[in-house]
Amino acid sequence: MPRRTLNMHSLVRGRVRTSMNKHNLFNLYKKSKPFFRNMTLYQQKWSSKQETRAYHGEQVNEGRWSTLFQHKLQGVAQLDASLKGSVLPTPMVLQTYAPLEKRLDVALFRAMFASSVRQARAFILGGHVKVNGVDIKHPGFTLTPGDIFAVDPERVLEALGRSKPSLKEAYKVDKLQVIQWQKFVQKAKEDPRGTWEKQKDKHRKNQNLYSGKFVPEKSQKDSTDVKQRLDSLQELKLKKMKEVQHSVSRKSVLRDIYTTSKRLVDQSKDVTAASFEEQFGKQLSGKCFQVYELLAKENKTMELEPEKATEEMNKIVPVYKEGKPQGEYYDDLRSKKLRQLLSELNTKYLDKVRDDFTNKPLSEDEIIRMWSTSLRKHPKIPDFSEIQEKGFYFLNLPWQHGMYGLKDPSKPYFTPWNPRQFLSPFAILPKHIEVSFITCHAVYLRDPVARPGESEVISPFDEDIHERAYMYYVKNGM
Amino acid sequence: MLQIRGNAELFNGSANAVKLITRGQVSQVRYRRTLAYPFYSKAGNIPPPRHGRKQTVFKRLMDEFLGPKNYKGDYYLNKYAYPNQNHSTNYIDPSSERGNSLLKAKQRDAVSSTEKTEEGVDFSRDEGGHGRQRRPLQPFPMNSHCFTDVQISKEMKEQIVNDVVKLKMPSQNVALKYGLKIQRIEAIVKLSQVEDSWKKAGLITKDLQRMSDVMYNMFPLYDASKNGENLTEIPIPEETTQSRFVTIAESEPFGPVDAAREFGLEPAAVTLQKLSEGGEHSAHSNRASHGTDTKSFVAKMHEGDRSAFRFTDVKVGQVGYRYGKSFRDNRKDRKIGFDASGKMVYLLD
Repeated sequence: MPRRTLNMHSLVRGRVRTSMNKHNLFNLYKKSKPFFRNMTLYQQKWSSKQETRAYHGEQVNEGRWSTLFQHKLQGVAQLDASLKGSVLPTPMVLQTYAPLEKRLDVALFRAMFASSVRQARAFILGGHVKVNGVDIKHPGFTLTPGDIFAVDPERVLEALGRSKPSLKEAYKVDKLQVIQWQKFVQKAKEDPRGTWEKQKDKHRKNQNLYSGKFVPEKSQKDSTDVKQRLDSLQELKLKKMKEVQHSVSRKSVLRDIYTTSKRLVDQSKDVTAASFEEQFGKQLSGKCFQVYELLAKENKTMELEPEKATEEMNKIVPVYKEGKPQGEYYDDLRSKKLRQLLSELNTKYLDKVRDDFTNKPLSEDEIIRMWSTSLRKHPKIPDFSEIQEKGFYFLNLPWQHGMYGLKDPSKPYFTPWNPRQFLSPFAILPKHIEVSFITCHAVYLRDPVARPGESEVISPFDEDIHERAYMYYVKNGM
Repeated sequence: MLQIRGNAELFNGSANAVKLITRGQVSQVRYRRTLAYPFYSKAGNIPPPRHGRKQTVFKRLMDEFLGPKNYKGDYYLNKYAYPNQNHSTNYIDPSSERGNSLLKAKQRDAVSSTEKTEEGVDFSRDEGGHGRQRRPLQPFPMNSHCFTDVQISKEMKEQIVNDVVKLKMPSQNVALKYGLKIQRIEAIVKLSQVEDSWKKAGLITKDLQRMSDVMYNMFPLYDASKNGENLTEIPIPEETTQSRFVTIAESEPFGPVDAAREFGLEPAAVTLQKLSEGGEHSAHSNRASHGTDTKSFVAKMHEGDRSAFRFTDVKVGQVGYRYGKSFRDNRKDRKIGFDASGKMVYLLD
């Protein structure tokens, strides 16, 4: 049984541990070399032993460790050394704690399948670890070269990811996010240009600050890059064009002409060809005017009530079913001419719609306008007491879909997965283990050895400290 | 505040104080707790507490190092908070930063020094200037003998698997081709098989894929010409780790070969050859021959026998309890081993 952990990451004591904790990072960061000059030899050995044992096999009792300790240290000789000329000395004393690296819990931590050795122990005891396909429940299991060990991927995602928030924590974060978002949308609606520029500036700053780094919330939709936006708009544009084209028919053209002219008639203005230019363009406006004249002069549609006028128009352009007109309709020469005119208008108008969509490039102003109009306020999140009963709430922000860290609350880790903070200073690929993160499998290649200039045992302490710790354990040495 | 400052001064002055008191002799204090102040902190320079809270000096110093925290709990300005994703390492460098570990908007020099590590790193190169050793693969600033491994790129792994599995190249040749040890080649092949079976079974989730991508982009990539493994390594023979004395005539020549004979060592070439054998994909696999040297037979059965007995050669002392040998089964921290089913057993020693 290991010792109970009491304030493992004490900042006052400042020991370095096998852990990815942020306190541990600071302890490592502020570490200074022990001041050996004013110590007796035994004090030197004792303090070195303290420092190194706090990192190496802190979870192993001293008695158990003394059975593992070997006074003969493992190193390698390089046969091509004589060809190279000068060869660096081999730091053999760094092998003092090499026997601990064979332990399964330590290997698990080295392979980065757990965020600390203590957590690795918990994974093993919980039955989440297999060695060569066999469930192993002993943290002290000794690995032999060639062994393949695996951890339950969910555990690894838990260990390397951010900690999963509780519903309350997620709610707190999301509440704030929604409030900020509402304010942002409000501002964007009021002053699109200014907000856009501000956003652009912020993005540029972040890009500079976090270049080459993993940044949690990065969304394509959020981009202020005009070119990128245009690309994403292209699809949207095509979709919209299709929509418009589908809505255009003889009847819709007729109705458009009617509504445009009716508005002018009601305001007691003259209807001319120019009044149709806005919607139909210069070339089609003449034909539109002909339609209007036919409508106004012969049918007197303009003087009718709106409901009556619609009925009238339905009679001019009836609904066709299997090639035959349905219901009551006009079959005289004038109506035929009107229908023919409308057909011509319809086809030409469709062409015009297509041309408008493809040829007209969007300016930045238009993009900003589209951006600001596309922004929608988020529906209000209910009070926490309500949510507590339900267990979830709806959230959809441009950079986050679902609750913060709880997109899939059934998973034991932060979803969607994000790397934990301060992972990179502790991410050390071991040389004696080959790791496959995608399957959470690893192969223990060999026991770590020392070679000229380096040791495969990962340790924050250098030769001088390890030398004294080694001396402490060999006992008969000095 | 006064008391705190006093502590800090005590710490910084402690080295001198000890020197003054003990000129000529070392102090014989049985227990003195030295507080782990950062090596860069000065007596008067204790940062203010965060948000007017009551905080210890150490907590304040840590908060200064971590930097501001946003509403999600991210230390968004700390250099080490988010992992690098451009195949470069992000290890701490306290000696040049001295506690100031926040990201700066324009840090062209610092960025370029880490970006250099993108492919293949030379161990011997000095980094960071100031005449100080700053090596990108060295994770701990205090240990100049510890280095992280580099990642083998996905493409290279595919090539290796293709060479071994499809082209049936012996692992010795593949190892030579890529500058990787045979065991590593074998491991890569083994792990790729696992990966394939997982892909087929649909076990690779989106989150798992994301995690593995992040981890992949965090480490520098392997380049055979720069960080190839030394393939001529052999373990130092155990016999040579202690001295042996031989009496020889003064005029008698005595070289390494004689020494090897004295120790009873085989030539290194033979050891190296032995090391390269035995893998699953080896050119001269000795797996098959391995089984033959353990003699085992099933004894003839007689009428009325209910079970057949298999007899296997074992060395005396390795199995069973030898009469007369001391056997303290109540000893503390007895040696332990594990059987094939993963059950812990106490070993006889």
